[in-house]
Amino acid sequence: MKKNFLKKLAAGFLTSILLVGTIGCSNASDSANSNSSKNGKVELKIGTWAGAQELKEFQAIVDKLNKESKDYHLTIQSIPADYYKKIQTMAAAKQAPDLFWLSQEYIPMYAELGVIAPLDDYIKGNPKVNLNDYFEGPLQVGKVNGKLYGLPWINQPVMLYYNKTLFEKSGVELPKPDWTWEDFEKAAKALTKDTNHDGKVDQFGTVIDGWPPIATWVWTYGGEIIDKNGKVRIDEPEAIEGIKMLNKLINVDKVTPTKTQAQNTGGPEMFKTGKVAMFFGGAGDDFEKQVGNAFEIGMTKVPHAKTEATFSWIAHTVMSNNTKNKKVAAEALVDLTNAIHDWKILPPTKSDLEKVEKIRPDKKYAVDIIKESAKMARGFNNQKQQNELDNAIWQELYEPILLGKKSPEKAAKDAAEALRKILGQ
Amino acid sequence: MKKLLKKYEGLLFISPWILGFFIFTLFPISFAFYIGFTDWNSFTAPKFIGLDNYINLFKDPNFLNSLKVTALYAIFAIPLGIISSLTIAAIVNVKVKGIYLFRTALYLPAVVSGVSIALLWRWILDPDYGLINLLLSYIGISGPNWLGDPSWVLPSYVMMAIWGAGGGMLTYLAGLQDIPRSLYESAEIDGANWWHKFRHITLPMLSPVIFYNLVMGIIGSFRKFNDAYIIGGAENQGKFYMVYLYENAFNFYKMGYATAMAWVLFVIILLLTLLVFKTSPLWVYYAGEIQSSKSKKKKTFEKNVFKGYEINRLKGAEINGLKGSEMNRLKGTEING
Repeated sequence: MKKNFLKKLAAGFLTSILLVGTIGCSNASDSANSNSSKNGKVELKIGTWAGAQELKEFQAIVDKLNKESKDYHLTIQSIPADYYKKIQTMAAAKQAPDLFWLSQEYIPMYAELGVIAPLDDYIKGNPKVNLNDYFEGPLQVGKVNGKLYGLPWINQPVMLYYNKTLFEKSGVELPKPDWTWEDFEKAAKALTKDTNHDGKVDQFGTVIDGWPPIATWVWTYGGEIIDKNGKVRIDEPEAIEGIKMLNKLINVDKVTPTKTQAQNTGGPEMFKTGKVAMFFGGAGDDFEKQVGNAFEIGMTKVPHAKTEATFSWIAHTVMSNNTKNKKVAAEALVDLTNAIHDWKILPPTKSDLEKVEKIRPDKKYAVDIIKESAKMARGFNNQKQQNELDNAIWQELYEPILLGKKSPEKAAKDAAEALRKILGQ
Repeated sequence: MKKLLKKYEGLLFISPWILGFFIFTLFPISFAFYIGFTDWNSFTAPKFIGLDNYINLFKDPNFLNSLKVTALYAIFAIPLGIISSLTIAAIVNVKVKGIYLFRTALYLPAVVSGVSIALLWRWILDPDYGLINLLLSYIGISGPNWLGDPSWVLPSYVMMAIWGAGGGMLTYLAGLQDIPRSLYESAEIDGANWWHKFRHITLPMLSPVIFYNLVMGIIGSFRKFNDAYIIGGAENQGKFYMVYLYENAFNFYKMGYATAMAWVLFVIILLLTLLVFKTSPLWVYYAGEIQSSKSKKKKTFEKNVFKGYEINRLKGAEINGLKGSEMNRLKGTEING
């Protein structure tokens, strides 16, 4: 009797599992098949790494667009973790979202592999896009072999944040927009000290631990890592000059905590807790909010040498090559990208730059300098093998310099060799 | 019809697993075999390039480095891990009040998720604020820059592995408790001291467990990934084989190359495991037989833990499943002893 009951129970349990399974399956296939549905609108998916609060804000933007458009209906596909791994898998199965975000370094590879489609033909004549309004830097990273593969929605240049309170306490002159690297070095040296006299330095001028990118120095000294034509130039004299300055700051002046110190505590944390006087951060970073009243923050351009330049974190919205109705998808891409310009700072267009104050009132004090930085901001001359190249630069150049293991010349030479090997030059 | 059905009834019952094996194991393995010979970015169709991947691997300094790092780690971590697990097991194999508490505490590392352990260790190994260097500073030693100094990266990883030795302890403990008291008693009557007892009773009786842990240790060391992926280490000294494989597959989009790496790893593990199996008759002792390989004479000894007399005919390698045919003669209960 008892045995029988148990049998029935097990059978019931199994059946319910099966049922749940089939229901789950049928649901999944339903949503995959409905490409064009409700009231004749084209169904489009937009892939994003936005999660949590950011996702909520993004959802509001998408809802508004859906209401306004007669042609498309957007659904968000949120991938907050392992974004590129998941996009890779989806694209391999030809299941990539119709539109998705890509950080600059991925664009050439996705373009050359045919995962994303060029936009030129679809945005031509669309009154909502004015390519001339875009800053050169952010637009440039979307171009591969002369075609435009995406529209940038953010242009976040690296800027110099400083702890005003710390400067004033140490009697050091505040950073100015026209600073050269020598001025920076002088101030950093004055701010690096052992405040509690225990024999260990506990306050640093700046923090360099793999961030900011090596380009910060190479570009401002008039050099290039890889130029627009894909030629490796990191072993040329200008680039080496920049690397020499980096090396001096780290190994001669010692104005930065060691790599391990910085990476374990986190560079931004060291700045927020007043252990570091100057920090290279993105223009949109919310240090002001995080620091509160602990100390006063200032912002200026990164120092220069021969020329002004700063690395910018740039991301684009791109269109999958597998999307069925490219014309409508491109229209949605334009609308969406334009809408994000009202949401994220910095917008990559000249006309939208006026909105910075409105989007982020906490940045009001620095709006003018942010605008100036936007003009000189640029991305890498990304290549198809960008991840591998970045890895080689870190391995052959940046890390050895951080650890004081190579001279700038040797590091540049080794890095150039590794880069050329990857690019087959 | 009924007869036919009867014949295939068994197969029908296990069909979900058979299907699973074909679809999720056999097919991917054979597909991977092909992918190893291609240039594949995982987006576009794979391009057949013959042996190029395998040839390039051995010209790739990063590959050779990852192989070296992993092999060095294995050479140190496996023996030290076995010794420490065994020692811990011997220590907690006493009957004292509250011993279960210690056993549980020592086994904890095996229960906690690898990711959290890795993050914890990153802090413990911090040169300035870390626990280890703090303790060292009390006795006047200024500790090394563990993960930040290339020459200290490997020792750091070996240390972490030893810390996890409690996980291996469990099998040794079970092995220890399986050794009949009578052996020790008769040895004591003959005047054996603790070392004699350990060397001539404990070690031989535990050799199957050591053998098992050695094989699992080899596999585990070569497949090291989690903590290495999370905490890394200066100058590629923390770039283990699997980490570099993962990088190739998911960061550099060189899926064919990564697959070739996987096959090379498979061959390495296979060869090492075979080597251990081949040497096992020399040092692994299964209760129930005294083996002298030259005379091929076998005597039964004591009470066989496997119960079945058939087991005497098997050598170590066969018990562990290398030769299936003999195994079939054993019934499940006998194997489980």
